Amino acid sequence: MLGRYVEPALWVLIALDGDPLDLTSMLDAVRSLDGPIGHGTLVGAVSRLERLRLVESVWTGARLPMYRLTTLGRMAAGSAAILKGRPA
Amino acid sequence: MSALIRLYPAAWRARYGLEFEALLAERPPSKRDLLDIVLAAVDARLVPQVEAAPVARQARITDRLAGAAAVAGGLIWSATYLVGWLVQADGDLSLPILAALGLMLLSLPGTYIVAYARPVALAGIAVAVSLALLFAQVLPWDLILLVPILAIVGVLGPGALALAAARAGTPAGGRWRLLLLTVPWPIIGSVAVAVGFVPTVLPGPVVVASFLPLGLAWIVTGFRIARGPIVSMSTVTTAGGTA
Repeated sequence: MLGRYVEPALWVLIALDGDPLDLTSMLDAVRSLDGPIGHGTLVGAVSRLERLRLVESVWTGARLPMYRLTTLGRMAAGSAAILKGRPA
Repeated sequence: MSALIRLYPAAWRARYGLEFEALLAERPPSKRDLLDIVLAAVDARLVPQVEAAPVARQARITDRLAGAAAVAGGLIWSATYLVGWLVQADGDLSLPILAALGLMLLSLPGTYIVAYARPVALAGIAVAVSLALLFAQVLPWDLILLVPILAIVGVLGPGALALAAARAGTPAGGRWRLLLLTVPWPIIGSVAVAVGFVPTVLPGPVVVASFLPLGLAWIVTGFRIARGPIVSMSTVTTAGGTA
């Protein structure tokens, strides 16, 4: 399911373990955590996480949606943080 | 930048295109990022993560009118055969049947007719030819009656009923069952009348049993359209997000 997106998906989960982010903020956050990540890889990871119901998009009145963790996603983010040696 | 987005499949673009374009504008991609985007687009086509999903919305006044037309068409259709059978009057049933067909057509306005222009146009031509023949008194009325009936069961019937049912939110399996329960029987009934198997041009039990389900299906579907929610034919895509 995740294929080559496993690693970026873990970083997206960690980046979203806080306030909701739009794609641009998410790109910045993941890059600050993990170094370079491509635009395509980022959205590929997000779409997979959405499909797995780990991440959901929310519309807060802005033109573009924000992304946040679901309950399941928060649990996965905790595990991701441990895996990456970044315990919350 | 839009050329990059066009590399992705349509369903993906519908879901992420706007925000991806904003991302590209706010964080212009490097050469390495461009390669990443191309690879991700190939991946999105090979392993699509976004599926098209129909969108439901509240019924608008146009939907309620369309639903009312479908109900009226189904009622007239059903009543014509029932009354014709019960009364056994030697009257001309072609006008109410044509009126019912017209109302059924009217219940498919707007994007639906645009999306399915060809079958709807064919059915419209069939009905128009039937009307012309009727008024020209070219054919005996029972034969004239068969022309629109065959038109509706052959073209308009399955297509329009399936379309109306889709609009009313009936899932694909339900639409197939609806068609199976309603469409074959008018064909069989029409053929039975045409070959003389049913020895009367007035509706008898066989004809009524053949044609009534179609009218009832239109009534039920019309009510569902009028009540909503309406399932849009144009699809947007979701990947699990909440609006």
